[in-house]
Amino acid sequence: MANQHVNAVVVGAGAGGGVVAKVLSEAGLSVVLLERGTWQSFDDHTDDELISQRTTVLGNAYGPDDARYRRVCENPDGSTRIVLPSEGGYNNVAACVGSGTLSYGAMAWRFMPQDFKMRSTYGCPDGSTLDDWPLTYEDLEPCYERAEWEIGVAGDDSTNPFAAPRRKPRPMPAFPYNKEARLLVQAAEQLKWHPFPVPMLRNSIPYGGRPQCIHMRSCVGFACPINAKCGTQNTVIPAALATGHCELRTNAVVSEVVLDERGHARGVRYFDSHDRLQEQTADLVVVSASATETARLLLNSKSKLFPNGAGNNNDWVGRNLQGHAYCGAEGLMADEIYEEAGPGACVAFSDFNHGNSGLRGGAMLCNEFIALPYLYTGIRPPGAPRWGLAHKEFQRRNYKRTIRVKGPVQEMPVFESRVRVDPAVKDHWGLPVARLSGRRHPHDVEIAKFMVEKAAQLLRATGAADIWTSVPGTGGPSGGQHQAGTCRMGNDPKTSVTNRHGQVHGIDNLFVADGSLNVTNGGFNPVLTIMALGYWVGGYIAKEWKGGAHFHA
Amino acid sequence: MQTNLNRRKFIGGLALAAAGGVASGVGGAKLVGRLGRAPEGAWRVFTPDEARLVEAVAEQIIPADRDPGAREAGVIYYIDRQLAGPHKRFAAKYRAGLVCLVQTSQAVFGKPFEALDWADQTRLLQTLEANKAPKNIWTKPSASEFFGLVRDHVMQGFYGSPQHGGNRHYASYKMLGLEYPRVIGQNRYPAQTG
Amino acid sequence: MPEQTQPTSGKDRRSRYTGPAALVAVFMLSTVLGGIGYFELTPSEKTCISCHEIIVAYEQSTNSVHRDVSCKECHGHSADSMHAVRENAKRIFYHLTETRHDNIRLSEEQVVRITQACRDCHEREFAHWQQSGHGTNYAGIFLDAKHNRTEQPADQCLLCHGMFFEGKMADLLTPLDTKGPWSFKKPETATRPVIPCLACHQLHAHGQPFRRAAVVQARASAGTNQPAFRRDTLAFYVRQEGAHFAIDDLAVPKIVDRGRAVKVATDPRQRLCTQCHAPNAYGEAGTGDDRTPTGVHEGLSCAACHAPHSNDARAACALCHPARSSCGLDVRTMDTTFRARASKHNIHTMRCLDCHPTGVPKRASQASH
Repeated sequence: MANQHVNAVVVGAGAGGGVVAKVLSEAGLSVVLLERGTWQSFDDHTDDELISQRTTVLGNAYGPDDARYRRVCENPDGSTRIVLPSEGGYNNVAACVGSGTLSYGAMAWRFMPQDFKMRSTYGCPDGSTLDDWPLTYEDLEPCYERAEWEIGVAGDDSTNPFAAPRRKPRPMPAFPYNKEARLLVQAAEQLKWHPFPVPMLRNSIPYGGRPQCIHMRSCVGFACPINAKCGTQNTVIPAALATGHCELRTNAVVSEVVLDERGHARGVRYFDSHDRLQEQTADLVVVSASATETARLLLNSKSKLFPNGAGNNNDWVGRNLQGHAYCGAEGLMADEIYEEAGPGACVAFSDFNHGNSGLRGGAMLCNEFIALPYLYTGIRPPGAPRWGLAHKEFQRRNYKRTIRVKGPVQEMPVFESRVRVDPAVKDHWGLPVARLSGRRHPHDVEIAKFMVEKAAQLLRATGAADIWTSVPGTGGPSGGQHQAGTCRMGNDPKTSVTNRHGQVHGIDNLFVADGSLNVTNGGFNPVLTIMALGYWVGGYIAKEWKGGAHFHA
Repeated sequence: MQTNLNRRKFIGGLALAAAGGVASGVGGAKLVGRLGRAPEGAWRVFTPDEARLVEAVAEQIIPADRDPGAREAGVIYYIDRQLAGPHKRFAAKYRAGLVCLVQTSQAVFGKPFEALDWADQTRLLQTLEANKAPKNIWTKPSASEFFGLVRDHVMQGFYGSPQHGGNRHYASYKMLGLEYPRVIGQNRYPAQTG
Repeated sequence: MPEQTQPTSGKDRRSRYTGPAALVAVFMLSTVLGGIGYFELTPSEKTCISCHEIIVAYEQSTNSVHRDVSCKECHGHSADSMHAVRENAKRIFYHLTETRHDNIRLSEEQVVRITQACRDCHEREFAHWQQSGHGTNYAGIFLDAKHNRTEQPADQCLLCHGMFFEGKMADLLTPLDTKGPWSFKKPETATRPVIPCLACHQLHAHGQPFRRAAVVQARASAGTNQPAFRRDTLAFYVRQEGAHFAIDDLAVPKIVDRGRAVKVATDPRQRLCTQCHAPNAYGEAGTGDDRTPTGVHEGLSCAACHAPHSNDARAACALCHPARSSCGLDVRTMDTTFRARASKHNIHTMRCLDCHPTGVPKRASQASH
C-alpha cells in the first residue's frame, strides 16, 4: 500500500533532523521522519566498554552494524580497503533515534563569532577552501538559544571572557569541577588563563521531566541509564510526535531522493524494516543524515538535470570533508586524581581559540573524559612498552593518576578531502557505499603543535611529571564523529551546495540540515551548532510555508 | 478356530511391538548424548594445541605478578569466543599466524614456544612486534600485524567486561581498585524501618 | 466361489489395515514411553549429562552446596510438561546444528519457577523473604505513583529490582515519564517478584553444604565484624554482565561522611547489600539508598543486625545491648527510629552527640566497657 503524501520528509533522526521535525510539525506541516536505526537505550549494552560508541572493538553499540554496512577508504598510496563500521577510518555516526545525541559526551558549545568568518579574519591558506559562512553568529544566536532551552544545556560563562555574546543565560547551572579540574584551575591562574566550566547537554538539575545527572564513570559513548543526558530522542523528537503531525519510521534506509525531470524533488525512496523498497512523496525533503551519508545520498540521487547527483553539477557535494584535529598533552601526577564520580571533562579554556600569532584559529582545551580500563591500555608515553609486565605495572600504578588535556583543532578545509560513492562496493541493500579519500591540511598540524605546547605548559604548572603530547598524523581525511562540511552553505552556487538557508542550489524543495552545511567547523565540538542549524533551516522552511510558499515546482 | 489363532497372533504381535518399542526407546535415549559431532576440547575455534599456544602468548602479554595475569583471567576464552563471533574475520589470520609462530620458534630456538623459557619467549615476541621475524616464514600475515592483533585481543579480554569471556572474577577491575559493578543512587527515601 | 476371494466392502478394507496400523501405533507409543521412562527412572548422573553441554553445569552443581539434590528436583523432569518436551527437542536441534549460544541465561519465567522450587525445601526463608521489603513484586515497585512522580522510570531501575526482566524499561512500562498513569505493557508482569532468590544466590557454584555446627559457632560471635557465617551461594546477579559474581569479587564501597572516610565493614555480605543500597557517585553517606552506618554503629556490617531474608532487625539489639553498650541503658527505649519511625534519630546515622550536644553526662553507676 503506497504511503500518503506529506508536506515534508526528513531523512535522519539525529541532531539536525530531530530538531527540523519538531519545528516543521509545530508549524503545522505533516512530517515523516525516517531513521535507519531504532529506539535504543542504556539497557541495550549497559556500560560495556568493548561495545560502546567510543570503543567499538566488538561492534558499535548503537549502530551501524558490521553485517549490513561498509565503506571504502582510499589509502594515501591510492589503494583502497573496505572498512566495517566498527573499524577505524569508517567515519561512524550512530544509527539510532537521536543518533550520536543518545550516547555522546554532550559538550554543548556555541561557535565564536570569528568561527563564522574564518577567511575574513585570517585569509585563506594555500591548498585550502577556507571561507566565511553566508551567515553570521548573530544570525544563528537565537537558534543557539532555542537549542539550549528546548534540549537542555548546563553551563556558566561568567569566567570566560572569550564567550560569544548571548541574550539569555543557559537554563541550568554549570556542573561542578572535579579534583582534576580544580588542579588545572589552580595552574591556570598561575598562567593567567581563564578557566570555565564546559557547557553540557546534560541535566545538572532536573529538567525536561528528567532527573539530574548521577555522574556515571562511563558517559561518552554510552546511553544514560536515567535519561539525564539530553539528546534529540528525549526532547524534540517526542515533542514532534506529540503534535500529531509527525510520524517516525524506524529501520528505514533511504536509498535516493527522487527528482523529476525539472529538477524538483518528489520525495524519497527507502527500504523498510523488511527490506522492501518504499516511496514517500512529499512537498519538500530535508536531508539530515550526517556529513558522510547526506553527501552519499545526494550523490546517489541522479536525475536528468543532475547526472552527478542532486545539487552536484559543480562537483562540490562531498567535498571539504572535515572533523577536528584532536591533539593534547598527558601527564602523571604524584597523587591520585581519579574520582569514581564521572564523567570527567568539566573545565575548559578558550584562550587559544583565536588570536594565536601566525596561526589561523585554534582550539578550546579541556580536561578529558574518564578513560575506561581498555582505552587506557593505549594511553602511554611514546616509546613506553605496549605489553608485558612493564605495561601492566604502568596500568596499575598510573590509571588513577593520569591527567589529560585535549583540544579539537579547527581544520582548514581541503577540497580533495571528500566523500564519493564507490563504483563497485555495495551495502546490504545494494546501494553504492561511501568512499572516503583525501588528507588534512598541513596547517592543522602546525596549529596542533602550538596547542599541545600550551596543554603541556598547563600540565607542568599542575606539577605533573612525565608529560607527553600527541598531534594528529596527515594520512587520510578527517571526519570521525565530528564530521562536517560536505554540502557547505554559500552564496555562490559554483562554490557551494546550499544557500544560506540550507536550500540546495537549483532544487528549491531540497534542504540539508546537518553538519554537512558547516563551511568551517569551529574549534569546538559541533553538535550544538548542528542543532542550531536545525532550528535555522527548519525555521526558514516554516516561515516560508506559513507565508504561502509550499515549494511546489 | 481360525479367528482365535489370528487374535492370538495379533496380540502376540502387539506385545512384540510394545517390547520392541520400549527397547528402541531406551536404546535411542541412551544414544542422545552421542548425536552430532563431539568437540575436541572446550574451544569453539581453536584446537587444543592452538589454545595452549595462544594462552602462552597471552601470559607473556599480561603476565601474572601479585595480580592475576592473562591465563588466570581467562583471556583465552575471550579470544576464542570472539573469533567465533564479531572477530570471525580474523580467524584465518590467527590460524596462519600461529603456524608461522610455531615455525619461527622451531627455526630460531629449535623448541616449541611453550617449552621456551620466559626470557626467550619475550625476545621472540619482541622480534614479531618489530617485524624482524624471518620474512620467508611470515609472508601473510606479517609478524607485526599478527602480534598486534593478539596483543589487542589480550588487552580487551583482560580489561573488558567479563560477559565477553575474559576478566574472570573482575580480576583487572580489582587490580585497578575500581568499584564494580556500580549502581549509583538518585534520591533518598525515608527509612521504612528503624 | 469368486465373491469370497476378493474383499469388496469398505468394512473389509478397513479391517485389513487396522491390524498393521495398531502394531505401528503400539510400537511408536512404546518407543516414546520407553525413552521417557529411561530419562525418568535413571538417575541424572547418567541422563542429564549425556549431553556434553551440561557437563560444566553438572560439575558445578556436584561441588555446590546442593550437591545432594538431584537435577530433577529443581529443573523438573524431562517430560513433565509440553514446555519441557519442547525445550528438550530444541536442545537436541541446537546440538545437531552446532548452534552456539553464548551467555546462556535463564528466562525470567524460569527464575520465578526456580524460586518456587527453592520454597519446596527452604520454606522458612521463602516465607521470611516474601513478607520482607525484598519480596515485593513488579506492581509494588513500578506502579508506585509517588515514586514514579519523583524518579522517571528508566533502564537503571532494572539493575536492582527487575534484574531478570527480558527487555528494556520501554518494554516493561508505559509511559516513561513522571506524569503517568502507568501500566505494564504485559499485565501478567504485575505479580512477578522483582528480587527473587537468584538475585542474591548462585546455585551452580562451588561451595560447602550448610553444617549446623558452623552456624552455632558463628552466631556466638555475631554482632561484630568477625568473618561471620556466610553461605557459599551468596553472589550478586549483575544484570550488565548477565552473570552472578561471588560476594568476594564485589568491591568494598568507599563511603565518605562530610569529607571523612567512613569505616565500612569488611564483611563480604555487606557488599551484597550495597550493590543496590548505593550512595551517589561521590559515595556520600546517606545519599541515594545508602544505609552505611555512621555514628555509633559505624563499622558494623548490615548482617550484624539484619536477618538475612526477612531483613528484620527488631531482635538484633540484644546481641550487643546492654552488655556491650557505652551507657548500659535499654537502647530500645531511646528516641530512635527503632522505637518510632517518626524519630529524628535514625539508627544508621545517630551519634551520642545528637542527644547530648554538650557531651555525654556521667552516671552514678556506669557499665564498664
